[in-house]
Amino acid sequence: MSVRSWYIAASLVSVLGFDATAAPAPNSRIWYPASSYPQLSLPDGRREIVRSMLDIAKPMQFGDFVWNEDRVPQGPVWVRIDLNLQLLSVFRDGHEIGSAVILFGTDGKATPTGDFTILDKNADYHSHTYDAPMPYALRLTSDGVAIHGSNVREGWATHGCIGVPLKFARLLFAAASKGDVVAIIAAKAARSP
Amino acid sequence: MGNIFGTFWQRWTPYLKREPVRLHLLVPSKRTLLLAPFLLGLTFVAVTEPGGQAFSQAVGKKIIAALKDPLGLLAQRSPGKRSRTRYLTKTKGPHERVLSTVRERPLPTEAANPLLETPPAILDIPEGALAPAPTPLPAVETGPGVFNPPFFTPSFPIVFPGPGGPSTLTPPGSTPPGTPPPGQPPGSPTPPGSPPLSPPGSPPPGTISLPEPATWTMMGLGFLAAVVSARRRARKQRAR
Repeated sequence: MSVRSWYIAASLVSVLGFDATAAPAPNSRIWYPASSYPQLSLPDGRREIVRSMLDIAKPMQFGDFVWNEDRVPQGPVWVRIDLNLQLLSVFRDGHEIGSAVILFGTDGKATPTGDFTILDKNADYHSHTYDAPMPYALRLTSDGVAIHGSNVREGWATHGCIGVPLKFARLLFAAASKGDVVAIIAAKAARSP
Repeated sequence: MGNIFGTFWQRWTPYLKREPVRLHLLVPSKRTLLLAPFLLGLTFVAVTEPGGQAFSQAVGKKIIAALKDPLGLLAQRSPGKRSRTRYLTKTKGPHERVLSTVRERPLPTEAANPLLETPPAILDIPEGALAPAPTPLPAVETGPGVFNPPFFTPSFPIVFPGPGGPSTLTPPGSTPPGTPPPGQPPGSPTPPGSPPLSPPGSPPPGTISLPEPATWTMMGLGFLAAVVSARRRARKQRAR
């Protein structure tokens, strides 16, 4: 075997090994050091510490979601909805366990912003006002604004509710319970037309 | 020395004449190319092995945590801000409907078109059948106990078409010059021989339909591509 062949074989092995070890685990997590946990502020001024975030490097598309609760302990759940970024994040005990692209209100029926609590849960809700199914609904206000499963597509909106992908809505429905905090952050620059 | 220098000069002069020196210095040798990934892999293995891995993880996590705050991570994965286009809702609300530019409406047949129907032959009715002789109004009684309805006296003249009076109807076939045929609005410049009605949206007869600029552009680009490919093929064949 010539020296050139050895070089080629060694290069191939090293490159393949590099690729195998460098490939990141799917839905990996970014852990923050315990000495300096970052905080996220809520609309009412409260602050929630963040122990880890889901590592989603590339931009998500409409209909995408990530759910990963591996090695995350039980604890208080809160939901952060950012209308400006069109994203919903679920935190449990300070760890982000889910994130999804959302739909929200338009045409004069904007989504209310502020801090809410989950008033009611209904896995098979059907709206009488709009005659539309709203599966896995987590009701936030007395006038019917809720987080529910929806067909999340670009260019579509709701009448004030928060629409999330159906599978994500099922997971969120199972993880959240009555009384959990939902913070809806207002859209700053972009307003609904 | 002279011999050594002469040998060196004889060996390298033709090579330097053939290739520019700068280019030769910039291109790495095959050995370097083959060694580079090997060394890179060895470095990575050294860092990721137990001991090195713990060190790299600790350093990496601190660097990542320092660089990436939660809001930055959220902005990184966001699909972007909502644009200012009109958004649709699936349930009740404003619905947009897109109409095609060409609208087709069935041509009205003569039987279905009331405008094309011939006017009723009221003029064939013999005179006197429809207009009986005016009877005088009954005498109005006055006095107590008699109700007298107030008579309507119009302040403008009403003209009834009648056989004796001025009639607005004209018999078919005897259209006076300047009067449009029935079913056509007055003042239309269409000659009497042309079809009386045409569906809206259809081009007037005699006009030539031309392709739009986008069609012209596509046609031009297609021809250009065909010409370029033909020329390229001819050039290749010529080179062979």
